[in-house]
Amino acid sequence: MGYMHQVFLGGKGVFACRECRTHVALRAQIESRQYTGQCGRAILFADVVNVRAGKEEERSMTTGVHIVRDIFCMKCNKYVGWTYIKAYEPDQKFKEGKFILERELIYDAARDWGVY
Amino acid sequence: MTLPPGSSSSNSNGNGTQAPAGGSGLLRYPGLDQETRRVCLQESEFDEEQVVRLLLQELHNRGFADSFALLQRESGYTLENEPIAQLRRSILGGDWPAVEEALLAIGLGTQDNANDALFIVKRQHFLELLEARKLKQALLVLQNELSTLTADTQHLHRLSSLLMCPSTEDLRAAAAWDGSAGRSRLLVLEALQAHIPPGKMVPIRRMETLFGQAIARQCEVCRNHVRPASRDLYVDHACSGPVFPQELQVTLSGHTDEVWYVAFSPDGRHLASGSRDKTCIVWSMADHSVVHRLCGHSGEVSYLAWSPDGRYIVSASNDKTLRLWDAETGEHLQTFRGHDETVSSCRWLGDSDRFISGGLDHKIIIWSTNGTIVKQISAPRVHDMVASADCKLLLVADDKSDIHAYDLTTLTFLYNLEESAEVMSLALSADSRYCIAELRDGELHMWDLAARTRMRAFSGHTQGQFVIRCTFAGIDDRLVATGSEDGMVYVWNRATGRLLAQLKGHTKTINVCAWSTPAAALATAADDKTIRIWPAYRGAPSDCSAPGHSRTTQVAAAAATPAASDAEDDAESMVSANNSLDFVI
Repeated sequence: MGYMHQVFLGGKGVFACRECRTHVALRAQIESRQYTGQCGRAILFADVVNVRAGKEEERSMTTGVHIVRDIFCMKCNKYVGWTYIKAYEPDQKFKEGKFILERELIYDAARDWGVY
Repeated sequence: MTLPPGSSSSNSNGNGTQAPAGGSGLLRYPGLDQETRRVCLQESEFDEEQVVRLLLQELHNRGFADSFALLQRESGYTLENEPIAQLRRSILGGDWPAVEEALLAIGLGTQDNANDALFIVKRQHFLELLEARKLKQALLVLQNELSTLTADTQHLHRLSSLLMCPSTEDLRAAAAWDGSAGRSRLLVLEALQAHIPPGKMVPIRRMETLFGQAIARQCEVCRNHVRPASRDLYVDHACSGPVFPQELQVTLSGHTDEVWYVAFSPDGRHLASGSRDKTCIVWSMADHSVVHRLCGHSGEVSYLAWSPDGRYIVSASNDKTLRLWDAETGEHLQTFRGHDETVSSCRWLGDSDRFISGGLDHKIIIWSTNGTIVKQISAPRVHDMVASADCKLLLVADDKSDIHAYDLTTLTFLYNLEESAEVMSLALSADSRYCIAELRDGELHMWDLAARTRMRAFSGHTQGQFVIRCTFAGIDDRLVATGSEDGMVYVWNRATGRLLAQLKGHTKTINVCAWSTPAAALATAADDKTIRIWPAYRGAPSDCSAPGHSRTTQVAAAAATPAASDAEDDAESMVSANNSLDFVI
């Protein structure tokens, strides 16, 4: 994938990798919380940082068939979610280029403090 | 200019056998009638007086005293009239009142111009009096003469502070002046030249300057400039043969994961690579074998640096440490702990005893090889760092879009260069004058650090979120090479911004390009776990006799060069021509 400079996010509402606390997204980038992933609730983000994408694959989801790539924390290589490359259904096109992070796999400093 | 047959023999002999033949008119074109002579003269676009005086200067510099005298007599032109000769004599002899007289006799036009010229002379006089410890006289020169010639009070204050210098050594150091016995008088003469009309005093080594400019220009319009220009004046310079470095020489396989960094040893005989597989490998450039495998980092290795003497390698890793290795034995010597985040870059500081590292933790640390911290400052998050060859300047790319310049000796902030996008990596030319910033938006920007201006952009390659490390390459750093996410190496002509080559070989994103002049090769490393070596074309220094490379193609190339870059390059070549301080006429 190549070498990436780790990005550090500032301000409130930083989501991090639950495993290694590498920053992955900002609350301001949240588009929707109404998603479900392999580990339960998931969040749709307009943009994320410090992730590496895996191979493209076609996946059947509740909203139709999509081409997606799983995304992994660049630091610890743990799976954190996926990104939409292509949506076949016209009403799902808006998801292309956006990212799903699984709520159970990321750390929200504001809510998860003291829990883990 | 075409010389009529017959004249060449008298020129090349230069022994003056034909001198007594008669009047000057007959000698110029012996054996030709008036009409042919007139046509020959018309062919020259240049003023005869100027051409002859340049010839005179060149003859004088080369010590052809007889020919010089003969040409002066024959042509009726003199290199310098009496006031100029007087000026030269009196400056070099340190006769300052006579210099003043000579300047008046020459006539310097406006009062301001005359004042500036006199200031140069008086300043030298002042410094020489100080050097001779004639402080009272020096003070008089400063108060009565220098102060009336300039409004620059700061300069006057600086000069007056020199009165306090306890010794001549201090004086020379403080004034950046090498004394009356040094080159200072010649520098005065040269400085005065700017104030004297060039028609009266031919600028020093004018013909050589023009030749140099001509060759520099030929190099610029040379389409695939890869080899240094010979000093051949008979034919235009033009590089022939393959475009640098087209042929893949060898593929080095040994890493088990993406290769993120490569660096040549200073002598070009070894190559070190750092990989995502957490190891470094030292390769031999002679047989391309693995010499050492350096294992120990618990994180990916993203940066390497060879010590200037080639004995050590320091590697920087995502495990927040740096490790020092013996390059000859492969032994791990030291681990450096002090960074709290990924160490993003490291560079040696000239002496092989100290190196500097920058991290994403806002720290820049100077380390001693024995493991101690020499100095540490807080800085922006460091994406990349380059240090100038003289170890005076450190350029730091931060995680935003700025390049910060630091004084490397004191680690104090000097200035900022603002970029238009996030800077992923930096490269510095061997002369430390030009810097390339590789940007996230897929452009390379070249900066002139002397003028602190952005000179040129290079684009065409694919770059997104990954760090690609570019390099200057080729003879005199005339090329710029970088990798690309499409797996090709992109090579541009630095002077024109023209894309020269796209080298195919790697199958995945190329992370780093490194050039070595001693090895005469470019090394590239990629996500395909391999390193590839692309040798520069090796052959004669310059081959101008290639078939099909005629004068006309040169002209066409000149016309095709973008006008904007021309202007800059002209400025560049002018500077380099002026830099040669030679003290012949």
